[in-house]
Amino acid sequence: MSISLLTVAANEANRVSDNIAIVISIISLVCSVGFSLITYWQNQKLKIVDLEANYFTEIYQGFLCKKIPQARSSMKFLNRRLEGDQDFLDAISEMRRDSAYFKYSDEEFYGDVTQQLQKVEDYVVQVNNHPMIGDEEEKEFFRCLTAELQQLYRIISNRYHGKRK
Amino acid sequence: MNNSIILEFEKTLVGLAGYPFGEATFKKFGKGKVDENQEIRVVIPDRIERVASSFVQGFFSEWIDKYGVDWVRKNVDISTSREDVRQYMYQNLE
Repeated sequence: MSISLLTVAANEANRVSDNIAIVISIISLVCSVGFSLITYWQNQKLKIVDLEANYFTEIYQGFLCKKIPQARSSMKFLNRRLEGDQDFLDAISEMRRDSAYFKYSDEEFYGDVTQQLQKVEDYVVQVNNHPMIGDEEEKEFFRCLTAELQQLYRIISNRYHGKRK
Repeated sequence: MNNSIILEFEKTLVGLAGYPFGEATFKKFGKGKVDENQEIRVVIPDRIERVASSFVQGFFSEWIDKYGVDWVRKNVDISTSREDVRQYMYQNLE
C-alpha cells in the first residue's frame, strides 16, 4: 500500500515537472521569436537610416560644405549695391531643386527646407531694390543673411539626426 | 509679336521676389489677355536684374496648374536682354 502511494506521488511529481518544462519551453520559444522579430525590425530601421544618410550626404554635402560658403564669401557691396550674388543664388536654387527626393519621402521636411531656401533667395534678390544708406545697413544685411543660413543648416542637421520640430 | 504680356514695375525695382507678388503680377498683366493656343511672349523690363523662384512660380502658377511645366517651357518665350535672368526663370519654374 505504501509502495503504491509512493509510486503515485512520484508519477505526480514527474507530471508537474513535465508541465513546468513544457511551460518553460513555450516561454523560451515565444522569447526567441520575439527577440528575432525585434532584431529584424531594428536591422530594417538601420538600413533605412543608412540609406537616408547616404541620400543626405549625396544631396547636401557639396552645398553645405563648399558651394554656399564659397558663394557667400564672394558677395560684397560696391557703391551701396550688392555684387557677386549670382553664384550664391544659383547654389540656393540648385539646392532647392535637388531636394526633390524628399518631396516624396518626407513632405514636411521638404516643405521646411524649400521654404527656408526661398526665404533666403527672396532676401538676396530684393536687396538692390533700395540702395543701402550706410555701412551699418550693409553689415545688418549680412548679419540677417547669416541668421537665415544658420536656420537652413539647422533644419537639415535636425532632420539628419532624426529630430523633429 | 502681338500675343505678348509686357510687364511694368516701379522704376526702383530691379529684383522680383515673392509668390503672391508673382500671382498678382500675372493677374494684372496676363490673365485672360493672351491667346493660349499660340506662342506667348512675356516681356521683362531690361532693368530687372534678378527674379526669384518664388516670383516665377507665382507668376506661372495658373498655367502650370492648368497645362504643366513643360507646356510653359514650350509655349512661353521669356523676353529680356539679360540671358542670365531668362535662364534662371526657366530653371526655376518648379
